[in-house]
Amino acid sequence: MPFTSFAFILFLAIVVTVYYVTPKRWQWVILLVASYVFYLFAGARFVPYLVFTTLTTYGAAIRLDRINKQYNAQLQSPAHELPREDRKVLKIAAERRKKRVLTLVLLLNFGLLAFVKYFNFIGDNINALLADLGAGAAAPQLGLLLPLGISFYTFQSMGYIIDVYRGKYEPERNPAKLALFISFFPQMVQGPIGRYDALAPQLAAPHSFDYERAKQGIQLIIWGYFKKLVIADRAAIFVDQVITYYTAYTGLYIPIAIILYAVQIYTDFSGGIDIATGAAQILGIDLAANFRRPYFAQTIAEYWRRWHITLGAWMRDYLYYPLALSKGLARIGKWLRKKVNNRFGVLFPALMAEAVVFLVIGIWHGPAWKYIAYGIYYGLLIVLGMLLQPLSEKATAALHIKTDCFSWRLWRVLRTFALTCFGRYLTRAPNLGDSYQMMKLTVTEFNPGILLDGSLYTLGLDAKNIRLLFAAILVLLVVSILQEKGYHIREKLQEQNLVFQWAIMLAGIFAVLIFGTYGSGYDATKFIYELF
Amino acid sequence: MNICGRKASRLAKAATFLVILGMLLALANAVLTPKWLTGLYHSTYTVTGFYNEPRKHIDVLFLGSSRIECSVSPLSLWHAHGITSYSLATPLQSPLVSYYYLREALRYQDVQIVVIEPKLLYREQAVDEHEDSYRNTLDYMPLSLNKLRAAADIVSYSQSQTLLSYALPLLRYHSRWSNLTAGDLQLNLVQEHSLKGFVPVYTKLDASAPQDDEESDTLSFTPFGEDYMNRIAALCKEHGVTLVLVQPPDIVWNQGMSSQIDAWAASWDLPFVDYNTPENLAALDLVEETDFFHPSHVNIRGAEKLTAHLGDYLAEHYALPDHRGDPAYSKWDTDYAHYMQQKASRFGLSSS
Repeated sequence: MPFTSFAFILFLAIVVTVYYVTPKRWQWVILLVASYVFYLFAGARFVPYLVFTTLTTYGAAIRLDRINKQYNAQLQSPAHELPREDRKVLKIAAERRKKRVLTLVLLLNFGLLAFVKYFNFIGDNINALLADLGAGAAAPQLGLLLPLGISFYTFQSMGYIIDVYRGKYEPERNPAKLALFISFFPQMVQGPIGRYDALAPQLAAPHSFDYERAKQGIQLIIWGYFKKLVIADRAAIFVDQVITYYTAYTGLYIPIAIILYAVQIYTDFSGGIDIATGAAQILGIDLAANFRRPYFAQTIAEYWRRWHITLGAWMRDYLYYPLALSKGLARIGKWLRKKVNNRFGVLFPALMAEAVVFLVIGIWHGPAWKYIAYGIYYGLLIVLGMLLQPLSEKATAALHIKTDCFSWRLWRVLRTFALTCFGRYLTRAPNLGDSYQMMKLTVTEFNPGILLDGSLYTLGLDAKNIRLLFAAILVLLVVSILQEKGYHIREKLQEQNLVFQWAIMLAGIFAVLIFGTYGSGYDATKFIYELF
Repeated sequence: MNICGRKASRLAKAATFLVILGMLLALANAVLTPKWLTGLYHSTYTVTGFYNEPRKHIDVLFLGSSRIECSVSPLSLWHAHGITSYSLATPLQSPLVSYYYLREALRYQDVQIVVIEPKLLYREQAVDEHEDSYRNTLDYMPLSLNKLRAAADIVSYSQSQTLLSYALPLLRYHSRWSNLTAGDLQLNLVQEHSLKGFVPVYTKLDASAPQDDEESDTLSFTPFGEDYMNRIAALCKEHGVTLVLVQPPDIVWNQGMSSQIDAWAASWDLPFVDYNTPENLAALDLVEETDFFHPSHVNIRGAEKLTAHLGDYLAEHYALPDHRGDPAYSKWDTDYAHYMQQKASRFGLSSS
């Protein structure tokens, strides 16, 4: 049931109605049932995966809690007051048992994710290697279908179990409530990746219908549809045409398509998140923010703090810090401080952690070498940025460049955007070989004439559609600038007269309905039937 | 304001918003839906004209493709016999559409005889390939259970269409925004069809022009065609309506089809007037060069001949009321006079 289907809107309307007429103490049950119904629409065969993750996460959390309780009981029992040494032994034993449970549940769930997502990719590569060595195919190919949202709910549930392991909060004792936290339908398809302490209490809490909140939720949903259907899916027509036939559309066609792809992927992803957030908002639940105008970032590090924020935060808390603060890397850093360079030694654990994080982010994006290259690309940019920062600062000072002005900020924003666009060459091309060819054809052909001779109107979008696309992007830009300046648009809209509020909402609805890219299109020539 | 008052106020606001939204949706639907008024056939007027007929005034209903649409002139039938009829035949009409329009006709009119083109037995569903032939008749059918059932049937055969797009055509036609013309903004379309669904064609057969047909002649009914024709026959039987099969003349008619249709007609005990038999062709006295504009379509001269013959047949075999002289039907005389004027002026223009 895609967000862009009428079925989803109908489903949401039914869920909202049933949710608010249900006695408050049972509202969370409605959400759980709705979430599983939503998931069943994706395919009943995927439900066991979700149940497996839920049950293993639940069981592990309860087991971790039991180990903690046993340990505390042993410590606090006055009849068995233990000497310090024995207490230390008990602690180490408890930690070891907890670590075993955590490792097992992480292996099971990330192993399942890796199996369904990467099995064929690994098999392909093994077979390719064997073929190069003259041997036949050895690794089998399985017809695996990726369960809906598995990357998102696996990360969400594993974040929860790590927090329980760390003693951040008590585990959820009601398996059905934990099931709801893992499967809450608005965020099931593409996130955001929620945190238990922020989301679970909201899911379990009673909610009364809030008219203003619901109105704001609907506004956000309309905005999400605008981004997805008016901008992303329209841009996709142009982008697909150029990238599919990039050998025919060389020179400027390619960077234009790549820039449009950058817009497409942002509006597609963030539009979906807006729909999810708006849907949750109507139900009285706030989801974590996942985007904060990423293309206004002045550095790559900042870009990743604005793009897919919940994935970045997950990586920071559960991968980056454990790595950067690990004893092993600290030891190597100390050695490097003495033997190589003090600054490099200090930075080394962070640099290594960043490199690993971005490699994992690359792998997370999909089972293909291009995504691994994408991760390495960003890892390198971050590491080089950190290492070259002093040099850059010195150069800026030596050249007397003003850094506290609009032009400098604009330059940094454009530079960062260009770097992210370069990364899109890696991910949008079918494979790394094609990425290279596309880059080559971008610089070896010079055809600025296509900007003026109407060639751009022949790539699936006619002149009117291209103009509409740019007008919609301009609307997005203006809204983003206002938001960047701290202007809360929906709150400001609430302060306006009713007629203005309604005019804006109706304009949004009709912009989506009329200018949205959906359905089978209208081919006037096909529809002109003359004789019979 | 107390809580109840605030709730009532918000409810009223939400309801008002929804009413405005509904009105704007209706407006957008009206603008974006094609008017189907290009070329020879104006299916929109055929449909809106049918719904504009006074209730219980139509005794004979014609269904079928453009062959029927161009062959039968209800006003000539009126003039000769006082029979009130309406042609709901439309280009490339699918028997699915014929079936649901028959259901609509039975709701609005007291139809006694339904004349249908039996070649619909050979029609493929082709709901996506010939989507226009479905849309141009259903778009202007008022929303009803029949319309939704017709849409549901179409969607069940379709790879791409949705039920909702028939209730809210905006969803199908939204991308027309970039091709709108001034004609699309004309929202008060003519509601009457002064010729009662008849399409008079004033041109003659151009033997040198390439002639295409909408389907190749075949000697087997399609399961789709037979299913809906059976439904039509059953519905007529259920309502005590006489179903008459009338196949207009076709220069390249396959006589094998006549035998097959005969057999099907016999299975339902239906009369079959086949204007492709030598006797009937002789009776019509059609001249290929002057009475056809296409090998399978007669022009107005051919239509007048066929209508006269069919009128005699209906008057002879069925006790249809003669409404001439009835003041309630005086508009038929006015419409006939207009038709004569139009014909005279067109023949005057093309009197060669």
